[in-house]
Amino acid sequence: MKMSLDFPIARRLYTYSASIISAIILSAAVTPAHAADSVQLVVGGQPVAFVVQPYQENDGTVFAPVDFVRRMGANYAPSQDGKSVDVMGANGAKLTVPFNMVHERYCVPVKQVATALGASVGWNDRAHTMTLRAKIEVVKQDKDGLSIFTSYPIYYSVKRLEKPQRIYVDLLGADLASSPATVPASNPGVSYIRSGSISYNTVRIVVDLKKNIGFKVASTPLTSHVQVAMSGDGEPPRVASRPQPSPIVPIPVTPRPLPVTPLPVAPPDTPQTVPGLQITDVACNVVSDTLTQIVIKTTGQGDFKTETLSSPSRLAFDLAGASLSDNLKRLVSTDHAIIKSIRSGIMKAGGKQFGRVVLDMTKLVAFDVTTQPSDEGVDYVINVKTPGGPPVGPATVSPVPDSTLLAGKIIMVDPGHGGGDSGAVGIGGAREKDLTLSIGKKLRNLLASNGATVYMTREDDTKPSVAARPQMAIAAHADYFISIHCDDSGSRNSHSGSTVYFHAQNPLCRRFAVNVINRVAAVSGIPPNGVKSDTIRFQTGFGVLRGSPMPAILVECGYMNSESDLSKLRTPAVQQHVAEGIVAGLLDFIADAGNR
Amino acid sequence: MSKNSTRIVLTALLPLAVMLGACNNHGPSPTSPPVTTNPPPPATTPQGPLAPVHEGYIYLPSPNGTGDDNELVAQKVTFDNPDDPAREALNALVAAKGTPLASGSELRGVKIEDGLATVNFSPEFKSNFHGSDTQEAQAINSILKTLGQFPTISKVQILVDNAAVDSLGGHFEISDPLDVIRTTVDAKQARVYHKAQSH
Repeated sequence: MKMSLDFPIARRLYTYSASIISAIILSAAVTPAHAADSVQLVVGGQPVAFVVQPYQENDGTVFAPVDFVRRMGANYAPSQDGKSVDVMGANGAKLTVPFNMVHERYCVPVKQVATALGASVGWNDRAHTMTLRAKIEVVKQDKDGLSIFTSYPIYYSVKRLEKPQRIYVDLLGADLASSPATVPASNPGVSYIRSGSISYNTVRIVVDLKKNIGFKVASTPLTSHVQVAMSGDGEPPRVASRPQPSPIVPIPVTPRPLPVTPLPVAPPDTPQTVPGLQITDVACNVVSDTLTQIVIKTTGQGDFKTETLSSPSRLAFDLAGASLSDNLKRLVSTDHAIIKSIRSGIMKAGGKQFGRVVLDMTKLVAFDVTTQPSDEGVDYVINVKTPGGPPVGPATVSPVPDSTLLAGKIIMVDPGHGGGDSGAVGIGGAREKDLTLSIGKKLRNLLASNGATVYMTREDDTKPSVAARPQMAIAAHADYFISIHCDDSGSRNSHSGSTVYFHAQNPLCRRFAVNVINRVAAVSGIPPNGVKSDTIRFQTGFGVLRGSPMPAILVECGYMNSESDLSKLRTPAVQQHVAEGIVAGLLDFIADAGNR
Repeated sequence: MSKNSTRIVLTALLPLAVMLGACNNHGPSPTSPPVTTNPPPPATTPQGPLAPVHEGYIYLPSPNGTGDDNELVAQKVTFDNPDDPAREALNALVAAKGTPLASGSELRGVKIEDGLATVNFSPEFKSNFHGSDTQEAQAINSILKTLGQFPTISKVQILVDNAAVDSLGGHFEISDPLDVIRTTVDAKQARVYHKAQSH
C-alpha cells in the first residue's frame, strides 16, 4: 500500500528517465527490448502509450496506469476511502485493488486486474512486454449468422475472399485459448468454420462457404459480441462490404434442347403432397476422383424413384408428394466434368405430384441412392460414380518450386499412432507406428534442411491422443499440418497404393492433397489411389484433420497388407522418396498464388 | 401418448419390415444380400418401446472392402431374446466370424434412452485393437450400422470400461455421440416410427 509520499527518490528519477527514454523509443516505433527496465503493455494487438510508463516491481509484478482498463471496455474510479481503485469491467466484473500513485497516476498491478477482467496475460521477459488478449469464449454459428463472444470488447475486421469463397473475421488482441478450433456449421451455405491464431495477437475465424453468401456486420466496431449476419443463399442482405458477384449464371454458350420431361409448377390445391415434405437444398460435392455426391436435403421421408433419360443424358430423381422450398435454387450450374447442371422442379404424373431433381450429364454413369437422416428430415444422396481415369492433377514433370518458399514456414509433422497403439499390423508383423515414425523423421529432416521450422507430434514411441495432435499444431502456430499413416485392408494383397486425405469438402486442403499425391506418386514407386475426403471413411472425418485450422492432409503411404507396398515402405530409400514427394507437393501448394 | 389401434398396427408392422427389408442394395459393395419378401403382420401387441424383434442384421466388412462409404455387408442373425434386440445384435456382432471388433471384446451393457444408445464394452475392445483407418472405420461403422436398424436409436455413445475414449485406434474421434448409419429401408422405418411417436 505505498502512497505517493513514500515513493523513493531514486525510483522517481528512474521513472522520469525511463519514461523519457521509453517515450522516445516508442515514438520511434522500436520495441524497447534494450531499454533496461521499461515495460511495454500491448492491448488489442497495439502497444499502449502512457504518460507514465508501466514498470516492474522488484518481485516482478508489472504495474501500469489504470487507464489501460479503458482499452478493455472497463472503467475505474478511486474508491471512497481513497486507498484503492475500483475497477468495473464490461463483463460485470468488479474488483478493488491497491494502487501506487506515480506522478498523479493510479498505477495498479496489471496481471491481477487484467485477469479479473477476462484477459489472458502473456509476459515476454526478453522484450519486457506484457500482452493482454481477450479470450474467445464461444464461436457460434446458426441460421442467422456467426457470433463470436469474447471476454471483453475488442476491435475486429470482416473481409471476404474468393477462390474459394470465404469470409474472414480477424479479432485483434485475442487469444484462441481453449475454444474449439472448428465449429460445426449449421447454415446450409457454410461448409466449414475454422479458427486459428494468425499471430500472437490476432485470431482469425474463417468461414468457408459453399456458395456466394452475402454478409453484413451486425455489431459495433468495439464489442465483446461480434455478429456477422449471413443470409442462407446467394442473395446479399441489406448491406454488403463489397459489390457481390452475381449469383449462379446459367450456362452454356451453345443452346441445348429443352428436356422432354415437363417441369410445371404445382397448383396450390394439389392433393397428393405429403404435408410439408419439401426439397430444401441441392448440393454437388466432389468426394474423390471416383465419387461425386449430390445431396438432396428434404424435410422428411418419401418414396423416391430414379430414372435415366437420354438425348440429352439426364438422371432424374423423383420424390413423391414433395414440393420445393422457396429457398431452393431451381438451377445450379457446376464445373464438374460429368454433371453439368442440376435443375429442380415439380412434376405431375399419373395424378401424383413429384419433386424432381434432374442432373444434366455429359454421359450416363453408374450411380446409386442412399439416404441419411438429418436434423430437418432426410437427406437423399445420389452417389455418382465418375470414372477414375488418369491421376488427379497435371503430369508431374514440372520442376519443383524453389525450396526457399519454405523459409519461415512452420510445419507440424504427425507420425500416426505410437506407444501402446501400434496402428495396423501388416505382413510379417510390421507395425504401422514404426513406419510412420521413420517416414516422419525423414520428412522432418528434409523440411528443416530447407529452412522450415518443423515440429513433430512425437519423436519417439509415445502416443499423443488424437485431439492433442492438432492442438500441438495450433499451439506451435503451424502453417501446415501433415499426418503420416499407412493403411491396411485385411486380406493379403487385396489393395495397394497411396492415398492422401483432406477434411470434408475443404477445397484448399483438397488442393494441398492433390499437389502431394502427384509428387509422391512420381517418386515412390507405389501406385497412387488419388485424394479422398476423410468423410468417406467416417462421419466426422479424421480427428487430426478435423481439429486442424491450418491446411492439413493425412498421407496413407501404402497398404501394409500388400506385399509390394510393404516391402517398399520398409526400404529407407523409398521412405526418403516419399518424404521428398511430400515436400515437393507442399512447395507446389505454397507456390500456388494465395497460399503463402 | 394415446394408444389408438392405428398406432398399434403401425408399430406392429415395424419390426417385421426391419428384419425383412432388403437393406443395403444401395451400397457400393458389389455383393448384395438376398432380397426377402414381407411376411404377414404378427397377431400380438408389441410390448415396451422397442417391440420384440426375433431376427435382425449385423454388418460386417466385405472381404475386399476398402472401408469407404460405410461399405459393410449385412448378415442375418436370430435373436434369442427378442425383447432386447440391440444387445442381441451387438453380441452377435462381437461373436461373428470376420468381425471387425477386437478379439476379446465383450459387450458389457446397452442402455437406450431418448434415442441415444450408450454402449459399454470391455477394455479389450480398445486395448486389443490394432488397425489401420480402414479397419477402425469398419469397426466403428459396423456398430453404428448394426444399431441403425432400430428406429428407437438415433445416436450411439461408445464407452470402454464405462468411460468415454478419444478414439479406438488413433484415427476417428468417438468421445462424443455418433449418428447411426441407416440403410434406405432403415431410414424409412425410422421416419415412420418417429412420425407415429409424435402423434
